[in-house]
Amino acid sequence: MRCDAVSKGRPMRTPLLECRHVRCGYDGRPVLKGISLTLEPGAFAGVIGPNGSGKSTLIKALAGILQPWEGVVAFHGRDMAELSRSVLAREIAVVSQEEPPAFGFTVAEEVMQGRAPHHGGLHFESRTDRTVMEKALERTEVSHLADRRTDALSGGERQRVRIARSLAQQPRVLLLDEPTNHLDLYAQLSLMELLHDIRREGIAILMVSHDIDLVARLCEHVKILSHGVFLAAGTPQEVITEENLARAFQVQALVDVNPLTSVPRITPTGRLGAADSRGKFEQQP
Amino acid sequence: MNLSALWKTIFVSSGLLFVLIAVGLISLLVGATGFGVKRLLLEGAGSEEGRKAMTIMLSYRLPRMLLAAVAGAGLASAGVVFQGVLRNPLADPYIIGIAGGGSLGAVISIALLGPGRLLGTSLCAFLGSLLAVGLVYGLAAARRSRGYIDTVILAGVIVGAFMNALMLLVISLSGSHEIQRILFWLMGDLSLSDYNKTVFAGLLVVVGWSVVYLNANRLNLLAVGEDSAAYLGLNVARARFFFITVAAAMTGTVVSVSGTVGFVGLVVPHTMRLLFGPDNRVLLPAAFLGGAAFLAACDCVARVVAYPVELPVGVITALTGAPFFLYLLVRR
Repeated sequence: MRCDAVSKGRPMRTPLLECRHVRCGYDGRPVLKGISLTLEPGAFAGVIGPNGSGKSTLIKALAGILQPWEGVVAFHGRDMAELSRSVLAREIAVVSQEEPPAFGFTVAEEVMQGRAPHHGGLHFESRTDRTVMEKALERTEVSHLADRRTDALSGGERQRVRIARSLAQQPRVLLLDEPTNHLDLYAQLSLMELLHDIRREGIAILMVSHDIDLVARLCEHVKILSHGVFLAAGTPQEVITEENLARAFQVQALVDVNPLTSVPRITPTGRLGAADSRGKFEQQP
Repeated sequence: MNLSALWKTIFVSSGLLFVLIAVGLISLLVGATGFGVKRLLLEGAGSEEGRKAMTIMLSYRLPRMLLAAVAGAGLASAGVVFQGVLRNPLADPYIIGIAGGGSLGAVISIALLGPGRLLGTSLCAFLGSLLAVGLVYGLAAARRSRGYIDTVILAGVIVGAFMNALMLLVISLSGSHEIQRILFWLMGDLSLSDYNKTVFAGLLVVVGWSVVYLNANRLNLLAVGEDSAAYLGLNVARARFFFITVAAAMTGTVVSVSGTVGFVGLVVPHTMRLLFGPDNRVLLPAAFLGGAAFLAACDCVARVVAYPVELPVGVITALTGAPFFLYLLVRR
């Protein structure tokens, strides 16, 4: 017999990643104030929000390294508080904001660290590890850099290496914190293509960013985070509106549809609450 | 094609083990009391001359060489650990105030109990080191979640400076007749070696090194970055506490038996990293063996170079280590 959920026509799917009414922060200071979201297998979700709205904290909570004060963060239906960190790191990979390299590790060595959650404290890489590592290097197009030191790479190359390390974890969820920070146009574009490909291979992606255009182009589901709560959620078209941008970013912006990509395009025109801000840059005829 | 980390570890370790054995043999045969090696080998311990030579080697040079090797291995390994955990290639085992605390303990014991009480000096030095590390931990805990690494380094420097000031106070208040003993201790003194102390310290250093090595991959994670280490499944706070505690215990052990030998814990790890890369699976055995060989060689030189005066080994480590270190830095 088929199981119940399937026979009803629409299979019930356990969300890969789910948080319900999560409150958490640092040193008694709340940062997230009641956050709920779900990430289905193969989803590509984006969270936008101004600086200090709690985006990086959200990543930490979703990755299970910051315990919620209230509410639950669950991976595949299981409370993360009951799962060990290494178990979580086999399922959830995070590309965090960059930490400056302190030692001259090579690209291959750093990507190989993605295998760490699969092993113990002292481990010399097996043939499987090596294959996974080489595949990760290929997919992120950094194979030719394998023996270079990470402190001698450009920002774009380093970001690809960090994604390669995440792929070496063989995760089912990839979380990214401001992935396009400090990247030039070329590197941004190649990163977007890479994320697009990774998602097509079935890895669920959630990224937080203040780059609204990037999120609008890549993500099919967008949430706006402001002062630790979600202001709005839905498709880019539903969420990226003049009203929401004003509320979250304190910015007056024109939103229209980009004729090439048919996703919302924003043109900020002035800061709210700053009397002389409006139209300062507009061309005077 | 690159060597895998395993083969690299094996090659580097066997090479350095060979160097260590060579240095050990040479330092047994070289000394102020010259005797013909050839004659010793030919006549064995049978003759009067031979017996004398064997006695000098086994009861004077061997324990001293072993103590130098133990101290060098311990300091260099602890240096690797501190550099990795604090993500600072210029960290050394004394960075969290152990030298200051250990010196204070040793000086108090020398000044109050006299230099004859070897065990007393070692014990007081160890207690002093513990006190310093405890203070640093306390300060780091009080400022939790605010730049742990910066706090540890700053607290270590300040605790060390304070302990140093106390030590100078004790020196200036005590009579001057122990000043040479104290001075030697501060520069690193291997002349008071005996088998029991050496074996005890050696065991502690080997155990400490082994538990660190069994976590070498975790040290690599910390060295790349604390955020990414956490996202790769490491309990960062627990790992840092583990590594710093073990490295501090190793340093405290070495300081208690050999005084504060400088430079080994900074130069050897750094040199090994420049030669063999930052992977701690290779680096830890390399620093252990390289540190042992380096300090044994330095002590050998210290014994003979200014005969009949024996120099403190710390003078030699600084005089040879610093220029070599500079050369490596410039060459890169």
